[in-house]
Amino acid sequence: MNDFSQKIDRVDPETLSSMGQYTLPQILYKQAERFGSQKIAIREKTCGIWQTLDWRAFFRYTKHTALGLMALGIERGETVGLILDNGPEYLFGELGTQAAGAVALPLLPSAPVETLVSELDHVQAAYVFAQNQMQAERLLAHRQELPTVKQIVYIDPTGMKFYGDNPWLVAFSQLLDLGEDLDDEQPDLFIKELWDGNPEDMAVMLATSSAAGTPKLAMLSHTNFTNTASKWVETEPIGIEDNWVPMTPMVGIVEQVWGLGVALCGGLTTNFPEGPETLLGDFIDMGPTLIAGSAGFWEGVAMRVTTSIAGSRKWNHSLFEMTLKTANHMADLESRKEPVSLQLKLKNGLLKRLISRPLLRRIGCSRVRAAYSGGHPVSQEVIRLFRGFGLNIKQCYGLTETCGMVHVHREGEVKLGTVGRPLPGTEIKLTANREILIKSQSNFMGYYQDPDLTSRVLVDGWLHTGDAGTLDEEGHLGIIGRVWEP
Amino acid sequence: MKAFRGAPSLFASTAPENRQAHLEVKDLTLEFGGVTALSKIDISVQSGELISLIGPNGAGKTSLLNCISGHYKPQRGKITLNGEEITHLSPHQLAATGIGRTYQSFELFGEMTVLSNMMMARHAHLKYNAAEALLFSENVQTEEARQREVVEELIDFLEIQAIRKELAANLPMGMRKRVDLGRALALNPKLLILDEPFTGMTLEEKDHMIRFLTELNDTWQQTILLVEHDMSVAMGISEKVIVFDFGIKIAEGSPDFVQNHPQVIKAYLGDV
Repeated sequence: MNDFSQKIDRVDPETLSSMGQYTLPQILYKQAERFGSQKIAIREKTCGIWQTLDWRAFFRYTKHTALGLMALGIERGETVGLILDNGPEYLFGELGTQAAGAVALPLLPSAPVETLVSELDHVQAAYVFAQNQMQAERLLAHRQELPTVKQIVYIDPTGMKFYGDNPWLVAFSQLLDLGEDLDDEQPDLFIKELWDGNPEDMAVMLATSSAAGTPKLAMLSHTNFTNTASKWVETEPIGIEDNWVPMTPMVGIVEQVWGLGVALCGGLTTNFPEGPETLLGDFIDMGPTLIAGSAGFWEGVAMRVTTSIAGSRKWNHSLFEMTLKTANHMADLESRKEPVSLQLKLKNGLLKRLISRPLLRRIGCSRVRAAYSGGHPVSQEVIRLFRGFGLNIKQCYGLTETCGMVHVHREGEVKLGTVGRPLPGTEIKLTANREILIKSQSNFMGYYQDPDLTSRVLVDGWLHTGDAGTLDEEGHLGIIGRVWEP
Repeated sequence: MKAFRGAPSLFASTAPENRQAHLEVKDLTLEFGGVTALSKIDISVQSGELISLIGPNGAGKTSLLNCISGHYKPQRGKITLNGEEITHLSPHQLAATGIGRTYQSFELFGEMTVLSNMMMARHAHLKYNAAEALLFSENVQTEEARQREVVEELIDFLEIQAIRKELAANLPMGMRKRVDLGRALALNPKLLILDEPFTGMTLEEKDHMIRFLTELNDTWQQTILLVEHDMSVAMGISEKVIVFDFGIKIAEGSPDFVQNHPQVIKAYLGDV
């Protein structure tokens, strides 16, 4: 599809297959050893300038976050809430929590405060990371309803001076200092705590309503994450220092699996814009090589492109149509393995150079090697549009309960109307009423404090997704909708 | 990283003695033909204060600001800043003495970006000459980069990263006001004069503005003289309120005192 003749610098298969033995923070430790300060792990725009963190710095911050939490008094098995915007601190907070043996509970920063408080209370959170003064203020107002929360760690210090020395509030920079001091006192503590972690331990709890139909907290282990992530890195064109950008708040399963799983296992560079409102502007700067977006995101981009083409001159419009038609015609011939005439090849090559590439550059996608669309099935027109002008977009399928996407269009096997074939190690079957059942190491541990529901959804290792689908002879899965539950 | 989000170096690096702003207005009278806009006004702003000037329409609030910032020349009276007379200086000379102001109406360069508007305000602090600028010497390049850093820190402080490259004319009113404040701050003023900074703002934007002003005043001891129409905002953030009516100062004191002052009630509500 795309001429990416350059070699992909992949993580070697042996390393990849060993990932299952480790917890996520342990993988960070391994990667920091492997890449040192040679490779960039995180890039963030601050005050108009892109700042970078290499893998060693990423590890150091995470270590100090974990030690800081230990200095505050965190115990293994406790839960830490994360009410954070996307940024490096998200990764430090979540991985630091896990390194200290605790469980992370990502929460949507824009959720109403009542929701946040009831979730935090439900899991008896011991600590909470809050992005800024606004979030801290919201929690302070409901302090009585949060008896288990020992302290709040806030990231952005702006405006926090007005709270004086409220002992319930700790600045993130202060937490890092505490961690550093503890490291000086007990240099072996972190390594000991890190390697006490077991890959079968719970890593994250995520809110979901995918399989059960009602909002529940799904418990996911480190193994769930490493399994999905290493299978992605193995099958998809993902290489070290590939750029990716979280497109939505990191509370969703896709952002979680990519941010903590794929990025760690595959050695990707995670990019963060200056703020949520600068994302689209910074997108072009970042030049992502991989994009995982929701179907809604891709439909939005498609709409912007088509409306701006429709609003331009007739000449542009017909050139655009011709480009799409030629590219799709050629792709059809190639997929049926029929011969392509030299004339068609030349025409396609010319249009690609003159029309498609500049267009992709305009929307910041000129370097994209693979783009993924999850969530609800995106319309075939949208897929044809993007593939027509050279964006390697693919459909995926997965649930929070399967720890992210377990089905994807493989390279060169994109079949419109389906969500592709299962990742290696993922088994799939359909019941009589066409409900999709999935068996894989990524299947979740269960719902939080709800064994009844868990036993109904997870039977003999098979996850009952509640989605109805079809399977064709080549193993491509099609999604129809929800199964009618009697 | 947001965790290390610091204060703009412009504020942090300015020594408190360089922030001293003691403004005295004595016996100031301003007339337009036969109309007396301001009559025998005496006000005093001490360093580090946040003072609000309120009053009904046409009370002479903006006229007083225009006298202080050199746009109007009063017939009688004297204005001093830190003991130095500034009554008859022109606006650009006043900018150099340390008075920065924002405007009630739109006074940004509409066809320039937010960034350029703010960079423009750093002009007074540039350390190169025209010849060097023409050659774009190394000195000019480092100096420009340094000024850009200063401005970027202010952009971060005011949280206007997303509109940095937008043309000022395309911005909604609330955002223009924020940029206008940014431009005034880029001058690194001793005395910051704000003319109705809250007009045209949504509730949320007002909250942001209040946050910026209180932080400037509390943390950085920025002296602020504020003209405001919105009584609740003015009463909420200022230590001292001065009330004008028909060019005369009718009351001065704490928000509580002013709110219960009979003449103020009369000025706002008429004879009850």
